[in-house]
Amino acid sequence: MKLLAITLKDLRRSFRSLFSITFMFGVPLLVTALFWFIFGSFSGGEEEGFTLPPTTVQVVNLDEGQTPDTGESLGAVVVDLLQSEGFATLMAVTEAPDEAEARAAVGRGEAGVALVLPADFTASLTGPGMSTTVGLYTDPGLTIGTQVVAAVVRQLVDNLAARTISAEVTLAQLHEAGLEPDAALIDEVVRATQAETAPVLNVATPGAPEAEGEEDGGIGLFLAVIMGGMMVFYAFFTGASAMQTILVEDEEGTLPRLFTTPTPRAVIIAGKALAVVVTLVVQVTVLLLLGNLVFGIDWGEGLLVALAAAGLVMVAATTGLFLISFLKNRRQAGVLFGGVLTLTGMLGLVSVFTVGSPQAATMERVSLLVPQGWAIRAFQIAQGGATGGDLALTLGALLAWSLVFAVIGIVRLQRRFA
Amino acid sequence: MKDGIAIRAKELRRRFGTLEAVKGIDFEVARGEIFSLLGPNGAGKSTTISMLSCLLAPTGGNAWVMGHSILDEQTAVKQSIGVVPQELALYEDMSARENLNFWGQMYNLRGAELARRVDEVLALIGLEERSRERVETFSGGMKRRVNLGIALLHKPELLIMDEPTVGIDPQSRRHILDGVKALNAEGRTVLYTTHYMEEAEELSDHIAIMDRGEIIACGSNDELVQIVGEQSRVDLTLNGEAGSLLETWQALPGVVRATIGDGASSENDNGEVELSQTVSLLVDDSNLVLPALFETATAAGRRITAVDIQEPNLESVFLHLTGRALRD
Repeated sequence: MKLLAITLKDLRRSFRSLFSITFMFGVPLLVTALFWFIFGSFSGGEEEGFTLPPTTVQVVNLDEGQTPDTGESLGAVVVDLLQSEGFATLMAVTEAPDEAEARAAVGRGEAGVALVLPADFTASLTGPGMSTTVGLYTDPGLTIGTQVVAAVVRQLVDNLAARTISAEVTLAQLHEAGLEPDAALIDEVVRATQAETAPVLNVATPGAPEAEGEEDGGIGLFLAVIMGGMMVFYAFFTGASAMQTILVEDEEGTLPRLFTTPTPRAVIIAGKALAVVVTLVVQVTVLLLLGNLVFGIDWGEGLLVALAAAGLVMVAATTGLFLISFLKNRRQAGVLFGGVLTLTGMLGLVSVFTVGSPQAATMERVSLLVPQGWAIRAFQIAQGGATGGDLALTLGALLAWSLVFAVIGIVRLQRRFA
Repeated sequence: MKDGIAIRAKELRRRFGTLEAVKGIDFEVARGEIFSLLGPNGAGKSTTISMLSCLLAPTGGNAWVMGHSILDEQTAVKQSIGVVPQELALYEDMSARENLNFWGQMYNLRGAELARRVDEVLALIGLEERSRERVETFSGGMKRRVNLGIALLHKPELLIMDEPTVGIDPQSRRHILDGVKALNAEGRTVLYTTHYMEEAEELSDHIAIMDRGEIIACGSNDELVQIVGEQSRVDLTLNGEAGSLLETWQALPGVVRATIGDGASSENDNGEVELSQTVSLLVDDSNLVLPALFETATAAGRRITAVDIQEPNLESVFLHLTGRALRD
């Protein structure tokens, strides 16, 4: 009961502070909104705006079929389309001899996306009732450009499949009804039936079982990455500033006074730590919901997102505990939080903002030197539709960071308040 | 531990690194009395109180509070005491009622009992009508009352007050002193620390004078004053620094002790800066000594600009025992 009373008191004080509310919710949303406006011009606006560097795409065209009417290979059509001038600013497409090499290139970070068109690609799209699997392999730590390109490729292939299947059905039905095919009518029916067509594309990541892809627009993925990054960045500040109440109460005399009450010191500190965790849970939940409601962000499969959020809460809270255990007063806290959290936060975000650059792979590794990088990776994996196995490794890393921080923080605080 | 004793300290000591802040003190506080620890800043009063309220662990010795050891029965000690810290220790962004509710829970109060005690304390400190306003909107005196009210929530047998009147206006100070007397009249034991002699004299049944971590005298006000007998304290203010005059005065017949006090500077009508210095003397008979003091000052080229003669009191005792004024 006392623990909850302390937690509720801290929560009441936190959520009464306009500064805290602004910092926890307002700033991350504002930054995302700014990117949303900028990205609006990228995605078709007339004004010059933010542009992404091209992402390297390796295509393996194994298609052996030909269309009955023109004798074309649809696999070759797809490759030509992706290599056309229209996509030149978005992706640099090269062909790879086989799937293994293309996937290895993605694994090494030399390519962001690998597209494998199977031998029966044309046959499955032109033959009645046939289907096939197109491999789209992406880096598990998805970056903005990679996600945008993956989404474009996915939509291109899906549309091709949808139109072909729809046309088949429509022509058959018209023929049975004794009607002459009309091109305009066929197009109309094709559009109407596109939504009902089954996807022929499966998305897989290197080293993981194939998972079914979900359609998503490039801007949605882009905003998801940006807002995910902002959420992680500011969650660490929330964790640290909420833990800082231990220092604040020590300076203001309320903590020593609490120690003179018949309440165990461990309960007092635990109550305050629980308040930090609850504050972070509220912050992350609200930002996830607002991201979805305001910007239409699809964060990914519910359970994976929940696990990523839990990892973020855990590591942000323990980082705060770790940091304040080294501090004597609020003045030191301002310097340390401003310096350490900003620096590590920017390091964590570096992979997001260096996408497509020659140093992208290196920068991603650099981002994983700090807990923020792992937290961002967890959300990116969840957004990329990866399996729980992929996330498990990242959550394991977050757990390890958290355990180290928690042990050091608790030991140091125990010594301090003994 | 014998009956009727609220606090018994035995060889209580506390060291911070190389500094021994409390040097093995012994004292007893009877139940139902007001006991003051009197001494200048740095004497060890707050450290002693911190140990008695289980905030600091002693590095030696032990103490028993309401029969419970501060080493082995900390929860029982904490439940039996109410601590009023020197600085305000409350949540200013919460209302008075929210503060009392929270602190009441920390003292194991729950439900209807908690609600009743919060209402009673609000009435006691005279803040019922403003109970739902944030403390940050209160005056300094009102905040002090909330600070005191928190310590009274669980009806502690012993109230520990650490210099509660520091830095407040005379009206609020009077309110607190009257409050302490009223609480004592209800049968509550009060341990009170102060460096104001007048407060100790007015409130206390017994006084322990502390200096540099030690209790240098302990007893009732009358018992302590008897230490200096009929000696009076004379404070003289000189224009300029005392210099060698101090040694001259120290050697005069009837002067027990002479110490230099505060120095000050001021601007005269011509815009010149003038220095002044206070000298405190403990003398056997002020009527006999004063003429000699004036003569020697004149001979040394100094002018005495103010004279303050005090009958034997705790200040005299402190000066007598330590050679320093209490305010130093």
